[in-house]
Amino acid sequence: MTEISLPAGREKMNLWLQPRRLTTGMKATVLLLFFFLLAMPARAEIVKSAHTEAELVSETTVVLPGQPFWTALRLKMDKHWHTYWRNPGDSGLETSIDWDLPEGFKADAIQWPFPVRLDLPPLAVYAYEDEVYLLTKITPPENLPHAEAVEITANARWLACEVNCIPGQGTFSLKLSSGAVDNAGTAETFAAARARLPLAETEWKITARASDDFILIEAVPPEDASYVHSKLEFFPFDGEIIAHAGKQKFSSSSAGAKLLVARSRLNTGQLTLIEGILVSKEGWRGEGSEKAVEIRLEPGVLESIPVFQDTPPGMQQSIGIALLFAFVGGMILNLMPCVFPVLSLKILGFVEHSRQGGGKAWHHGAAFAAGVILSFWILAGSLIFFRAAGEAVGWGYQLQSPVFVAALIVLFYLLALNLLGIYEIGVSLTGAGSRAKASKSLGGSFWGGVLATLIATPCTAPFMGTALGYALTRPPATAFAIFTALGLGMAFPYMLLSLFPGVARRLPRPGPWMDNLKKFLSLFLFATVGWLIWVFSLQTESNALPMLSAGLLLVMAGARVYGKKYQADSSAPGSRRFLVIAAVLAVSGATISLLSAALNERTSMAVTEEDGSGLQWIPYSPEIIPRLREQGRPVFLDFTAAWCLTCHVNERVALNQKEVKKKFQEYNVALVKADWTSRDEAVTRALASFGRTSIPFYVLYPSGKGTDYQTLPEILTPGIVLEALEKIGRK
Amino acid sequence: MFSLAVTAAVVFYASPVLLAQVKTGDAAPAFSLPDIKGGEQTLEANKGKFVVLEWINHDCPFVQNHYSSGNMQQLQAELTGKGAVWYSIASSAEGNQGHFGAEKWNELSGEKGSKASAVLLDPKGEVGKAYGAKTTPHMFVINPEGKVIYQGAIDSVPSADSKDVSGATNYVRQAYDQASAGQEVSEGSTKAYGCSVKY
Repeated sequence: MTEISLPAGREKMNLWLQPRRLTTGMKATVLLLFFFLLAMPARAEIVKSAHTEAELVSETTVVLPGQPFWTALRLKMDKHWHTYWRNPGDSGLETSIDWDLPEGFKADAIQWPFPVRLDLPPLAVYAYEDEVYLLTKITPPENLPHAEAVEITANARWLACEVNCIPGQGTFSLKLSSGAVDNAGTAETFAAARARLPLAETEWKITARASDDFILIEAVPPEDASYVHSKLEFFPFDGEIIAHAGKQKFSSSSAGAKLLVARSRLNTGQLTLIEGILVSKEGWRGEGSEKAVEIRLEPGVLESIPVFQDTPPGMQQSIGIALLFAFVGGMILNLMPCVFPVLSLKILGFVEHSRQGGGKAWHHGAAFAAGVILSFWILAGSLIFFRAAGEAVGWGYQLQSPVFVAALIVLFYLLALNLLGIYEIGVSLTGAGSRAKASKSLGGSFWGGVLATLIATPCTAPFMGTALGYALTRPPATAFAIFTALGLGMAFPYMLLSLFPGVARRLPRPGPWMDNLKKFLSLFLFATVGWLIWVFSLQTESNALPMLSAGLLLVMAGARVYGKKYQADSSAPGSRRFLVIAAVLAVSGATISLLSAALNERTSMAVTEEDGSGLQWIPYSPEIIPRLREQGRPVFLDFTAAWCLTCHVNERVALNQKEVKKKFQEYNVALVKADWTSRDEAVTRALASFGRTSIPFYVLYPSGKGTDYQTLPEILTPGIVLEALEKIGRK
Repeated sequence: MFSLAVTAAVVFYASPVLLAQVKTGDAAPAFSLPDIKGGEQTLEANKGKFVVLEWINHDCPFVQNHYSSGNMQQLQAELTGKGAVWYSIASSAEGNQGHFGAEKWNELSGEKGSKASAVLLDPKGEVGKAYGAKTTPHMFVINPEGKVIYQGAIDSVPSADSKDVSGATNYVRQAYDQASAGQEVSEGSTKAYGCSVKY
């Protein structure tokens, strides 16, 4: 931007300073003195008015013909006082400069650094606090007479406000020389000031659409962008196009950022041009880069308003809070219905470990934690990989694949058979195997951790949804950190238990009761298998189920042969035969089970409108929500899936309760179900628009056109739903 | 632990407090406010007359500029002389800048030589918010049918400098002159300038 080239001046300087060329030392001194005097006016006298200090600064002391140079009006405000941007917002007045320049000189308009929005409800202004440099480019004429000092004068006027407003003004003169050396010494000042100017363009693709009430600005990142904006703010040049004090709603994902701005109600006609600056918290070229970009957009037509998730306070900025949420969510995950059976098994395992002497117990705790954390990493890695590849995946996505579900079915089935005592496992998967050898195995604890994570994925615990949503819209390193926190949270209770084996030792001594308890717990695993089979049946065509049953039968036969024929007497001659038979049976059974899924995957999900609860559910589509709301109905949007256990618990204990159903009817609430049982692009996108990547998730919209809505927590109680409905009903 | 978690996880959306905004051409919101003489003034009672609303705060330099130059009083005298009603409305909340009791207001109005028909007190800001008054001064002109025909700045030069007053086009006078002559108001809405209303 600076186009001052100095070679001419520098040459002269060198000549004068070269001792050989100096005729007398006197001459040098006089000349230096002369430059010193010239240099002084690079800063004009400081004008102090109430609460503001002002001065005019030049980037150079040298004026060259036709070479533009920069000046800055520096305004330094007292604490809490501000001066205004080019569009002051609801009140105030922009700073102005009238130039008094020698003939032929031209001053451009002020280059405005990006402002901050100050809220004085119900008003808002766009202003500068602390200190601001307002830059102006000045172009001397081509025919500037050589070696003549020039004087430029600025008459500046500004309004400084805190609560009170005090107008300020000042006249500033700068004497500049033509064609001599520049020693203004203000380069750093100007560099800093320029960093706050909006960029003229960005690689982000920015578009706008407008309706009568709103402007939606969308920013799509360039392909190689590895960062997201955590906050955008729009500042319009025109004072009359938006409601300045309106909340600017923002959402962001790796696919881009959206900003919804309410239009001024005084100006409701068609908008032909939207001009202003878009300010990013991070910067438009990655963290720490230029924060503002100038936009000039011809808006398209905005037909429906996307929904925006209100980021909980603190989440936007703070990775610390996201990590804390993940850790707490991980701990609570242990209490969710999918993990609980494994939790009990694990505690049994600790009872045994603790009997072996406290020294080793913590090894098992650590191995278990390692298993959990490693699984979370694999999960995070695959999630990040698939999302980067453009796949619509989120937490629990693997359960959207019937093949994965079939694999889980086989795994749980084998585990349940193990607990029933049909066979023993060499390396105890649960860490609860009765053989001393098995229970000593650290590998057992490790795999226990892997297993716990695997089956935890159908569940989301409170806090987790927010943390996961945060994780998956951040750079991979952040995502991994959050997944690690989740894993640590989940493993934390076990680690604690393993560090204080005394607690576990209070439990009864191992004995026959443990075998009975294991048989009892196997019921939970069989129930899990039953539930997974139901999920499987929803994801596949009807001939998959008989095939799966056949597969499971073979698996069971294999387990039986292994347990009764091989393990019962493995030293007997010919027992190896049984091992082979068992392996063949089990492997073929497992293969058939997986094939049953792979061959019969259902491509489209039939959504049941009636789920036996008496509630009428409408299948989700992006258009359905505005349509229902315009019919005057509030909308309850339920993101659910057959494999989501937390969802089912919520449906049973909260949504299907009599008083809740009654309220739904009373307020004529339209119930919309977004089913994520199988992969569904539209549902994933809808979730993403709330900054979510996991379910359960619930949204309640009032009727009408507004953008208000509220989200409900992952764990519902009738009270929470009723309270939320009450709020909508009162509107 | 659960109820705590649940409570913490509930994130309700709160809609912000926004100013209502009246469009030029729409019916002016009805109001009834006490004046500083102890009376009550309503818009309703002035059907059939032009009504000018002026948001006022004597501690605001922009208001001071239009009073110390005599500009505002002159316009007040001119329009009330032609039969219009002029209300200066103070919406400063109690404890905020520009909020005074009736006694002080009478003193101030006398000192400034106000020629308004009445000065109305709106410390709760209800009328200010109903009209969407943002600044002092912020001007509204209502025609005899009760429709808003002008809203916005007092004149065309946003400034607190007395030198600028004489050279500026006064939008209120322009709107009144045009409307009373049966013409279309050429500028029905402009951007108000000044200090913020101290709601």
